[in-house]
Amino acid sequence: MYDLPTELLNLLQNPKTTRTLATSAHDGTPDVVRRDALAVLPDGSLALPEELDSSQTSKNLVLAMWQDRRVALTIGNGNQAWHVVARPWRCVVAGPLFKQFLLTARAVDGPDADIAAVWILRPEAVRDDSVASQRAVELAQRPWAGAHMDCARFVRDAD
Amino acid sequence: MTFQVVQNQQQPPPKQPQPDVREGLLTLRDATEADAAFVDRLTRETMTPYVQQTWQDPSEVAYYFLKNKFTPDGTRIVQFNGRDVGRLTLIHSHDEIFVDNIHVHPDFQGRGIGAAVLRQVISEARRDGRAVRLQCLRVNPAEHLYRRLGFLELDRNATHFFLRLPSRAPTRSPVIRVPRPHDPGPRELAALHPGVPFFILLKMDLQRRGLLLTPAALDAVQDPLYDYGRSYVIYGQGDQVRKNAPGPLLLRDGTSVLVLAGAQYNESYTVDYRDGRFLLYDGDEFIDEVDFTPRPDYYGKLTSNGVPMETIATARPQRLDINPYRYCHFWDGGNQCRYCAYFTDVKASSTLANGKFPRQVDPQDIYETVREALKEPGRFSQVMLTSGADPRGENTFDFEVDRQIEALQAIGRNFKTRRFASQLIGCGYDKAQLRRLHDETGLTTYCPDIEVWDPKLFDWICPGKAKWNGRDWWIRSALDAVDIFGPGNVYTNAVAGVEMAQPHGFKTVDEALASHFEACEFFAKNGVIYLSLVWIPWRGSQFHGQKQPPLEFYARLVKGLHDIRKAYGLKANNDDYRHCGNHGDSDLERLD
Repeated sequence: MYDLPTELLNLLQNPKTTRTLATSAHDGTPDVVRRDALAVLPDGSLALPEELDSSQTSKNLVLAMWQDRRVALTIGNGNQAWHVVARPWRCVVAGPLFKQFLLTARAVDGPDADIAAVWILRPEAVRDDSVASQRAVELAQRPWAGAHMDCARFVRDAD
Repeated sequence: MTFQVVQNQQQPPPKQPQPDVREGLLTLRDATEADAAFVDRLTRETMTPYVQQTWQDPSEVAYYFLKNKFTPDGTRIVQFNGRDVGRLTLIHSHDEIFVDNIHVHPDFQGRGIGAAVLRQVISEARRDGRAVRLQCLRVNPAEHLYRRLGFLELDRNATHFFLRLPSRAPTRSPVIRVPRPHDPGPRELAALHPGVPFFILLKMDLQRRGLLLTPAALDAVQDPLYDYGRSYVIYGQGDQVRKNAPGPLLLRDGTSVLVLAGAQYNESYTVDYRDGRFLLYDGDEFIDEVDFTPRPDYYGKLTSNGVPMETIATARPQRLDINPYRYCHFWDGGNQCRYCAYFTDVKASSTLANGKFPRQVDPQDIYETVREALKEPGRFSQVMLTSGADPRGENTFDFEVDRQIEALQAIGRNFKTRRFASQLIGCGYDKAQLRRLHDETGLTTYCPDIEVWDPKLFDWICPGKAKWNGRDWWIRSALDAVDIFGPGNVYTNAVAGVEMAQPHGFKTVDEALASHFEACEFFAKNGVIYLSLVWIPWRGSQFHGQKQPPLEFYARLVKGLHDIRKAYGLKANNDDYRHCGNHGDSDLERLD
């Protein structure tokens, strides 16, 4: 399991951080959903409560587990953005962790809020996905490729 | 001494026993049902003094004799000069022979009969390089005989010695080992059958073969998080101990697996516990990380009548199972289903509860238990009722229906809504009874189990159902129920594999599968969900010792059943992966 960087862990503590999950169906159809309840567990794995077993996301997570596929997550806030590739590791349907996420859902959405399962995802690869970071990488690797020549950093003031 | 093995030989008239085994004819014959009384009496006469010395608690004593009750499978009757003087029960596996029971009548002890019989077992084991294993009560002087014969002590606990005679290379003529036909396991079958994932195959194989806990795993499940209550647990090398047992096993994909910690299976998987994790092994091969269903909060609490709530309802990951009537009247005249060990299980539970396990459960206790269970956030999303069959009443099963209505009404008092997620696994009721269940309770789904589809096999395997009121009646009941509960809200279960029990069952997997698919198609057309569950030849059932079909049978079965139901738009929501845990075919619906 990949250890998440501190910046990403801090980002996951911020309730304003946006979290999305990308999965794919049996026929390859992609599915992207926003899942702001995604949280990090003390061992560094990610926990994702799912409301419905019948959701496309749940089906795709089951498929990923059965076929040993990976899922992708994006976690972002302001200029910060991270991309995580993770392996669905466990589907929790009862017990203390399940209860904790259910109670959180009910605290947020009211007493009728419900969840079907909590999926444990094990990160396997993490990438700093912010534009600034990617640009820095690109500049280091291909300083003359891609950038438009009229960018301020290139064009000299007129004589 | 002459020693020979004979098959079911007629018993000659009793003769006077000879003073020593060397001066008489010692024979073994296969036991039959007719030997039950002799063997059970023999067990009591030989073992009572040692059992009473070992346990003071009468329930422990009763349980010992229950567990060692006669079954013909693997049992031979020891005859000395034509007279029945003992019993020998063996369990064979590929690498050892387990001596489950060896008893010689007290009048014939001290003549070398037990030693001669054991030497024969040892000789058989050594011919093909197998070990011999047994366990004996510490107070039983037969221990000295075992040690004299070369058995070594593997382990001991407060009550038993665990002894083993190691395997040895064959010393007689060389034995050409014929490899056992390879029965592909879950990983191989997942590659051969891409429509059936490894987890589902593993679940079904676990159901077929069961699991043992290592001592470390047994210690770990004593944790309050896992403790499902006091039970008899099989662990280690197949030894039994009375400790807290875990609940259903959980695979990583959330699938629950019902395997009994207290039941003896064949070639079981093993669960070990290391670094805070439960690890599943098949022999030496690591299979996967697993978990056990957490203990629900209501366990350990008492109803206002002082009844432990876990004796009223047991918990699966998301389902409460309630058994309002813990007795099956099919057993009264020996009409129980031949694969069923329900009654022996109930006896064992009663023993564990020190007799505080009445046949009929008070509806008030049911009400209070459900009320308490619902206090745990998100723990339960369904209630299932089942009970032993009771054909009594003005109309067949009236008593049973009255009792189910009482129980369902007691449960219903907990809900604001008219209906609540519920399933009743009951007998085949008539239309008026079904109407009462629907109108007088909040029941949502009904399940009269057909068990076996083929008409002749149904009559042979399910004599109670055949008697009250026959296969057509049970089928009619399921179809009538669709009119009342609606399509997709009526289920029926088949004990898959039992139709291959011999001597009357199907001889090939293809015949058995064809029968299941015909049944599923018939029921699906009529709005009934036909589900399979894995047959286990339980000890205590008439089919104990029968051979189960290979795992590949179940792989093909669950895929076929799932495809048929899907074509008819049926989905077994009430028996899915987190509610029931018994059906590989409904687990496949997670992708639908």
